[in-house]
Amino acid sequence: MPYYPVIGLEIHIQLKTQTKMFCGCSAEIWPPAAKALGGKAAAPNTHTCPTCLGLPGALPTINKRAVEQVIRMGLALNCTINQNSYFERKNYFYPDLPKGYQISQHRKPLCVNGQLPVNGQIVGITDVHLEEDTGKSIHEKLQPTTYNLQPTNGEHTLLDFNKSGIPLMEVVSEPDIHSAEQAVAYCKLIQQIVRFLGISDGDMEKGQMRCEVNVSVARLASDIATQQDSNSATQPHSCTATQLHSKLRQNLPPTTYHLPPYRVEIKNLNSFRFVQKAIEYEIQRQTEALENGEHLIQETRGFDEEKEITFSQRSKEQAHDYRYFPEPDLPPMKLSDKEIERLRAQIPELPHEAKRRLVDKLGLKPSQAEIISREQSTLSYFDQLVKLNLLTDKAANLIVNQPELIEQYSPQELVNYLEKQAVEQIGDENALMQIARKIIEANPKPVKDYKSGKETALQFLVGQMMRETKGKAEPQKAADILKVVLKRN
Amino acid sequence: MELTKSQTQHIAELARIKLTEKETGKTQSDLSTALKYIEVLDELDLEDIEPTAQITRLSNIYREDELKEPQTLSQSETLSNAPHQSNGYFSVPRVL
Ligand SMILES: [Zn+2]
Repeated sequence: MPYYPVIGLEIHIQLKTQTKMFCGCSAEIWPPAAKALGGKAAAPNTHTCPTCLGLPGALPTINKRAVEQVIRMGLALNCTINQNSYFERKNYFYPDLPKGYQISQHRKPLCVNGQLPVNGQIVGITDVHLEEDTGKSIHEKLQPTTYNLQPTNGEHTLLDFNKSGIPLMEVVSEPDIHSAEQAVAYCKLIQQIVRFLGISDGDMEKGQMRCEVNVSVARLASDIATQQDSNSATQPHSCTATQLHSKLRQNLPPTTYHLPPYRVEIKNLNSFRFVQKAIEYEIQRQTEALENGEHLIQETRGFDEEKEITFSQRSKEQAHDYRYFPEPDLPPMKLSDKEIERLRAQIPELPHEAKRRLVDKLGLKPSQAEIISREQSTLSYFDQLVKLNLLTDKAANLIVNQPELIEQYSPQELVNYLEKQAVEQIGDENALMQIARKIIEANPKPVKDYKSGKETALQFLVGQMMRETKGKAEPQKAADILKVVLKRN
Repeated sequence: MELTKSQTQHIAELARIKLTEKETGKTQSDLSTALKYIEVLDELDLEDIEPTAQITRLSNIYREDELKEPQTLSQSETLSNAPHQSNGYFSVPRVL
């Protein structure tokens, strides 16, 4: 009995701003100077103030740039912008959340109802909203001597609030994804888009982009019907894996399926590989469990990065009860059509749009277009080469196969370099022609042999060419030129 | 509305407040009284009225994303009220 994976993603992305979301502290917690020295983060608790530490009486203020960045992301994902949007408090207790609530959005997120084409299939975007990041917890057993006064025996959680209050954008997808590969493709595209928009570096190693997947497996309605009709459990599959796959390719639902009554949430996946592995493992685990007649429950599972498996996180916490309510310290945001259009005008061509243009309009192979549209700098390099009248295929090949040239030259320099190279090649050919004539004149016997059909005589003449050019000529080229001159001779 | 005992316990847990059996009973009736007190609002016809989240009538109050006069504290100031600390970090009982 085939099961149909149903996957939704929630992606958290730290925005690239100078200051934090609700206070004026620097959001640059990976100082540029340190980056060059191996990417060390700033010393703990050095980018903190009463607001981002949640001290009583401190008041938040809204970072305008962060709001604009989220709206641009929403527009890039074809969302509707909520023109009356506001922040809410999401209440829960955890040591890295000093206020006891996170300022987030719930009822009126900035952006709703979007969609994004991923490999030709549409993934619905439920919403894109803005919130604040929490602090960082480190769970370590440290030597008791390094502490002053310990409440428990060396078992501690250490807290650094540098990242507390960094603007955090959350992109929530509909459960429109049906394979681990498609989930990874979606994550990669989201990462490319935030980079094209310049709103985040999306560096997963630094935690600037974190993925959370919701996985369940559904049975196809047709299967259930077939089974009920025949009243037999040994009915052949009504939709094989291959058929299923081809339907997915055509972006058709594989007949209908019922959204399963449970879903498994896997949090904090910080690489594309882990997203892939966690989903693959879950699909297999859930399929096997259902085939064994087990009952699956709604739960949050952790991912073991070494074993690449998920594990149940038995937590005593009951169902979430965040008691959202509008943040009384922050006035609502009213967004005019004019403001939205101003932000829309700032959106560049996006990677998936560029890819389509390169294939449809410029005739590149999808594999070439994929590589060229991955980064904005590469794409603009390519476009400049084409503007300088380089043939599209030639430009594409250079970028795909000779990245060292791209690194070394600006587009104009590269075009100059290629022209010079072509001129030199022609010059070389002229010189070789002259040498060939000279050698043919000096060696009448081998020439006569060659003309009477002795192919090996050519080898002797090639040897003479090599000697004359001190080995600089390419043997194949020398032979070709000799043949041309001999024919005319 | 009369709160049930389990609702009362749930609220106490969310607020991280430990209640004895006796306190639970008292809290249950106190909270129920408070709820009853504001239930009078249910009599109003609010059909066409947008919920009010703000009474300041302000909107679009933003801060420009510029580093100027931040209230940022030094590490030692940040940690000055921490009951426990270690190497620049706040230290709390292990939570995971
Ligand atoms: Zn701050």
